[in-house]
Amino acid sequence: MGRGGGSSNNNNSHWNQQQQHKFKPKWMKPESNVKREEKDGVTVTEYTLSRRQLKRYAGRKVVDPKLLQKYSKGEGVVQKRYGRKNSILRHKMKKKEEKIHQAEEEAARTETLLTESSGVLEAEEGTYTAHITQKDIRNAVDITTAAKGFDLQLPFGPYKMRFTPNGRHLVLGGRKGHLASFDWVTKKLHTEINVMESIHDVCWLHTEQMMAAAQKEWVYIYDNQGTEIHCLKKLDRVLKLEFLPYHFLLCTSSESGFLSWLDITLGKEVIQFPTRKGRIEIMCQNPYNAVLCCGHAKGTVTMWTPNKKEAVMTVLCHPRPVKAIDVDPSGRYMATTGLDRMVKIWDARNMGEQLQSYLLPHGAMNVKFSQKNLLAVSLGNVVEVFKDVISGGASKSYMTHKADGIVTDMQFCPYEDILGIATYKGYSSLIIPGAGEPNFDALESNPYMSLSGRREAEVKAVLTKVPSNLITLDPFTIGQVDVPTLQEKVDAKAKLIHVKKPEIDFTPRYRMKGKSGSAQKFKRKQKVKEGQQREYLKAAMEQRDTLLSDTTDNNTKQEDKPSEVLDRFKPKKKVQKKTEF
Amino acid sequence: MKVQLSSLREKQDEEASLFVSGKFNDDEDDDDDGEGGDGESEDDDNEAAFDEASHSRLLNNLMKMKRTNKRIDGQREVRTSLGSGVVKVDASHLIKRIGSASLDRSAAKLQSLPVPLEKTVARKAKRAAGFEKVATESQVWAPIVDKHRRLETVHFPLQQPDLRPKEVEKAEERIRVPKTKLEKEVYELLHGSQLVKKVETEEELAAKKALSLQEVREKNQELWRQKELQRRYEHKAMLQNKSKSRKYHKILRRDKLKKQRRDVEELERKDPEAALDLLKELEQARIQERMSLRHKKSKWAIFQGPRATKDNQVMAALKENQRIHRELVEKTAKKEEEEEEEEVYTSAMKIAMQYMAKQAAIERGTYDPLNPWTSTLKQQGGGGGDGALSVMEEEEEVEFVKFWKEFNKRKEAERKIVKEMEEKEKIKEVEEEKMKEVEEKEKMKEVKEKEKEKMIKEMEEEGEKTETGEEEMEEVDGGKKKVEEIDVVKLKGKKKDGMKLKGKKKMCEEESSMEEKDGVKLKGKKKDGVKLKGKKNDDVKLKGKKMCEEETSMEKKDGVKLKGKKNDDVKLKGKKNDDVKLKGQKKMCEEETEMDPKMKKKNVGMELKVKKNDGGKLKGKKKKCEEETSTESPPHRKDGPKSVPLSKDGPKSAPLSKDGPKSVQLSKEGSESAPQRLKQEQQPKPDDEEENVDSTIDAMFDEAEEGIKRNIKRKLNTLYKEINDVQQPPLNTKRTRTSNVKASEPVRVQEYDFTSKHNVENLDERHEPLNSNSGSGEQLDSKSRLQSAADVLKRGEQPCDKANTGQQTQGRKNPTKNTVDVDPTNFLQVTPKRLLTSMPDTVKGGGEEGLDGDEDNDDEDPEEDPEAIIREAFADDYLIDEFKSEKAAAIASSGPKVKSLALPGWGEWTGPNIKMSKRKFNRFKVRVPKMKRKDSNLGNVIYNEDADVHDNLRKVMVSDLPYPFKSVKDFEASVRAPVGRMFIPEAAHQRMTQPALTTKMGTVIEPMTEDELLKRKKGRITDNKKDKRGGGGDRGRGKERSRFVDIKGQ
Repeated sequence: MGRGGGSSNNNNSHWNQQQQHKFKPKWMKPESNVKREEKDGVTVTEYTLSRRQLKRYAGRKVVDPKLLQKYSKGEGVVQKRYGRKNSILRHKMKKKEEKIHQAEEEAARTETLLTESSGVLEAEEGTYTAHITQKDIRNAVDITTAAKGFDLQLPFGPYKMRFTPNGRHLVLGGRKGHLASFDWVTKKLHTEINVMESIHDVCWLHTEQMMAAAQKEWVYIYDNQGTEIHCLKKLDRVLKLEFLPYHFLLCTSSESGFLSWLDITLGKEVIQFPTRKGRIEIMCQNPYNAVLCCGHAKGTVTMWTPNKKEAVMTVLCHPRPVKAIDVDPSGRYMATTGLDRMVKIWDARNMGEQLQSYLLPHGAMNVKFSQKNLLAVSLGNVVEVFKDVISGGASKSYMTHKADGIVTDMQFCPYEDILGIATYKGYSSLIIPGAGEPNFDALESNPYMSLSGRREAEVKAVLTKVPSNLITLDPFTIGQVDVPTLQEKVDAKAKLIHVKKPEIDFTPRYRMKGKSGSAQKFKRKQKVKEGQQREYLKAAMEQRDTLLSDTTDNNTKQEDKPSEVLDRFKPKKKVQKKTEF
Repeated sequence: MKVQLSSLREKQDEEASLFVSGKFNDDEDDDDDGEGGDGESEDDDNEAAFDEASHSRLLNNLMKMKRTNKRIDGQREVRTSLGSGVVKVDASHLIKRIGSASLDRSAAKLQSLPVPLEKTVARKAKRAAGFEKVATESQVWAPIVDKHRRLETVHFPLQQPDLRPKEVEKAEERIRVPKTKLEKEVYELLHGSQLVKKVETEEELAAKKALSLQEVREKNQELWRQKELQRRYEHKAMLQNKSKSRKYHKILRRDKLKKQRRDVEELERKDPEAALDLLKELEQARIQERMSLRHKKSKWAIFQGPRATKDNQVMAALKENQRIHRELVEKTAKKEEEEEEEEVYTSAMKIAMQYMAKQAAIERGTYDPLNPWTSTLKQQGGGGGDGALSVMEEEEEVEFVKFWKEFNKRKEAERKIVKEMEEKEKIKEVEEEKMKEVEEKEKMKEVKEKEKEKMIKEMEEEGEKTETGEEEMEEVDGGKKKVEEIDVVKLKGKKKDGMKLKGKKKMCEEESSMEEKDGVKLKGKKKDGVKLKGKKNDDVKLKGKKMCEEETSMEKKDGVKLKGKKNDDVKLKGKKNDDVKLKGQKKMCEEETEMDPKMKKKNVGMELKVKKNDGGKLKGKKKKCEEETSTESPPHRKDGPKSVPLSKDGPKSAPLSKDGPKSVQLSKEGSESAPQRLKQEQQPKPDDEEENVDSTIDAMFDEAEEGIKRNIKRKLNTLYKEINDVQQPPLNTKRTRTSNVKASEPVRVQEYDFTSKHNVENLDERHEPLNSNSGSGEQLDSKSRLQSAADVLKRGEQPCDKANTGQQTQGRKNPTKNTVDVDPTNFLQVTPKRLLTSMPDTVKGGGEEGLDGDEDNDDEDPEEDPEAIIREAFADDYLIDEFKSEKAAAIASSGPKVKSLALPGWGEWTGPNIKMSKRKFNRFKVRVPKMKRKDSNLGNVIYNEDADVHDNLRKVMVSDLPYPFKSVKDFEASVRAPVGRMFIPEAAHQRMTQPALTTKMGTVIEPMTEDELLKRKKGRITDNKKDKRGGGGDRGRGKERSRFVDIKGQ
């Protein structure tokens, strides 16, 4: 709900009251008038207000200051610096700041719409939650939930799997060519084929209508019916697939160490280059900034964007080869495991900062975060789920499960308390209470999406496609000023050559027939003088422009170029009116 | 156009006639009255008679004009009309008419009309008046315009139909025409009862508005008056502008000056602060005058030059000019002196003395601003004004002079006695010192040994840490301080002696205190002189032996100190006028200083030799020190006053001196401790003679020490600068002056503030890293910040390049943690938590025991402990090494390459295989500022900024600051909040994307009428927000707008 969707129940009264008051936490002392109660594991907060406050906040619930803090957009403009002369400007700035604060408050208010809460297993004294088996859970829970936990015994061994972003559909790819996609909740099979080639990885594209499979030689794209739509021969010997949903990019890493990004809306390859790091088998995306993270045998994790053929960042995470990486859905934490039997939690936005490190008795081959930051680790055929790994509170596993075969792939299902594991011998979905986000944002990803809804979402998603240019470690870079260029510009401005027009001493030659009268002579002289001066100044200006154009983008070239993303915000060019005489 | 003009002119004429006519009439009336008083027959006032009379008057006037020589005697028949025969006119009447009054009047009328204003000027005046009028008219609209500009959204048409449900009362307000009978009756009834207000017709209103004749006249009068006033004003302005008379302007200027003075005086009485400000301003003007050197080389003065030989007046003027110039220039030099003097004198004393002296000088007629003796007096004059001087009575002046003369005589006599006493004492002291020296030598040896050890450590640490450096300094000085203490005791003794002497002479208290100080100083100096002589001899000897490095360093110091003292002497001389004896001393000092450079040259040579022999670690350091000395000392030698900070306790004492009195004390100490230092530095001499090796090492240490001190001093200076910038200026006058000079250097003023709030994560909490060893983190950080600040100051520019911004962001990002973890192994060697898991089937002996069993048994190897695990894990660090080398390569490739502009072959022998010397290469090396990498303190991270914020991204980033913003930070703050409906709730989104202007389709948008003004007066203009349309309308508009934007985007 971070992107605050459903706000349809804002009515007019809200609007007007919003105009009248502004939230001021200064005199609001939350401690004095806040009453907290705990009911069924949920804290209920009540605010008692003074008469004055009641009058002020009539009909509107007070937002918890802490909650407001959560939605804060940071410090505003220091208005004192401006508008000393121009009070209107200052007024406008003030108004804008007010609007931003109102937006923050409005966003904080939407939290009331998050009605669902995630459950959690709690052990009785003397027992562990890890003792509770899947069987116990299935027996205890309601029948719909029990139906979500199931096992599939499939013969085409080691499997790869992937859920759709809304958590509704599942694709399975067996090494021996088995490709199947189905709605795992209703168990309705969409397609099941044998591609007659080894499948190394599978991946959904932007909807459940299309999926990509990295086969022995190339990457293929199949539709919901199992029809082969594309064979992408540019992507060869691919080991890992990732799809960036906001950029519509299919990313692959290959046996030969190549990384490639393919724009699926255009079918064009954005970039492909060798990483020179050897075989890349471990890759995941950071959902926060769409940067690819690759794990290497040198113990490093490298991060790549489709803009430069060099790693944006290289982090030495383990002194032994890295075995698995995952970034949590909010993009704050990264988990890595290595052959040194360690699981490490890193601050993904502040790389190089190790938050936690855990030692396992055995090397982990897979690691995955859930939406609620549970961490699943697979060791051979054992899957362990840990709670509170980030705060360092984990010492015993939250849940444990022993699969039939060695676990080859796993993923928490979004918006469900389900962990899907793919093994050598098939697939099984485990019920892990408290794993998924209970409140889904229907505008973002809707598990119950209708056909028309999906179509509309698809169109909107394509319209709001983010260009690959903007992929960088800090996604807020776009809102920042390019200081070096600005500096250059300012410097260039300071250096601007101010030319002085030259003095021209011209004596017109004598002409017959009264053309050398003083007036005529003067006119001629003036004409020549002005012409020469104009020419000189023109040349100088051109020179200056060329000098400046190194720093600024020259407009003439821009016309030929494909339009940029943010072109729409540029001022429109004035159409020169033709004047006829 | 012409027609218009002519009509305009006519109009003006009309106006003029209208305004003037009244007056003329009045005049005539008066005349008539006058005539009436005479009792003439023309009282009837019929027109013909009137004409007759005026005609006769005219004729008379004409007569008068002709009648130049003729006398008027008796009656004369005058023909007053051409027509009907001769009319006899009474001559007496005529004479009366010709009376003086009429003559005057006629004369007045003969005056020429004022020249009309020049066209341009007239037009200008007219324009100005017109502008004012229009401005006042348009000013009425200002609030409305302002209001509209403030509105977030302006809805056009501005006049919106009032859709609110109308109240019944308002609806019935209209006047109804009664239709039915009943209505008529009721209406009449109401009308008859006068309950209903009668509505006035237009005609009635017009009648009310009409003016009476009287009013019109008054109005006209007023208009005329104003016009007359304007005319007068214009006339005056014209005359004023016209005048080119020097005299007039001179008078004007004088008047102005007088007025100014009066104002100042008045202000002084009323508001002293304001007066001070005013005075300051005047002072500023004076300074400007001075700086312009107008008095020295004005054009005027140059032209007067040749004339001056002939013309005495010109000569005098030139002299006067010169005098003024001298006075102006003199002031600055004196101020400096004054500041130093302030430290010595108490203010009251000083003022009194100066005053007296000035009086005396004026009395004698020897008052000369250039004379150092009288020069000090001038400040007094400048401060208090000359007026104060005249207040003093002559008698008092005479007394003061007498007193002053006596004072001087006494002083001289006293000094002689003191000198004799001192010579005696010196002999004693020399003996005592020798004894003590032997004792102290031993002490010094011990101390020095300790020092050496410390120094070596220091060298290794490169002596960068200022604080520790200072401590060490103190320790080093510790030994010397002991020695100093002894000397201080001695000096005190001497002081007492001086006191006794003075007591005998029964001087007044003030004098005695003054003398005491002087005496002590003088003694010290004399002694120094003697000692110095001795030292000189020693030096000569040592030179021969060529092993007195220490001496040289000491010599340098001494020289510096001596100069400082010399200055003191000069000052003293200026103050007390008893320079006779001091002169001798000064000469000695000068000799000393002359000796120094020679000494130095040789010594430097020696030092170089020693260095070559010495291959130790000290070498580099020493070289540095030497370079510094060679570069820094010469300027210090040349200018005395600046050498003061070089003195040992300069850097230490400076921060302590926070207020005036303290600094005074310090200066005293300085003068006292100078001789002590000399003594103490003499002591190692025998050492040197005895042990060559020791001496050289000592010298080296001393030099190193000096270098460190200098370093510290420099750093402190930078610190001061910072402090100066942040807080108030420190009170050490000299330092402030230097720092001010530096601050006023042409620093490039930055247009914008480039600091950006990159990478600000505001949504969540910070994570504390595991391995934050916050030992000296803060210290380091503060230090680095200071360093950077100092660098910036040095460069005189703001930190705005890539690297700096990066640094800043880093700094802001991690305000608490600044630990430097360059070694990745450090990072990885954190003891991990152990997790309990069940064992996979692949592991032998696996099962679910991990969780079921005890914690001891859950690992494969029960004997394995965490340390062993770590050891095992780091058995091969080759990955880490590899990473290190990778990072080094990345740093090398990204950093600037070393480049030198040195040309091979220049100043060298040419030929194949020319090798450029390193020195040359370094000399012309292009210094590229090292950019700090963002990952410089992250051992396990290589960050490639070029790849991250790449060129394509830069293209779409904003690279200009839009209009109102002057800092990057503010602009970024202004765009920090998303506005899209994907990111914020719909209501907020609509509010944020509200259009600035909306127009209602299909309506004519009329320009505003003046009704708007009336509305405003009534306060009926409704806020746009609370518009009559209501909230629903607003929302609808918002939606429309947003849809519109979307379409545009496609």
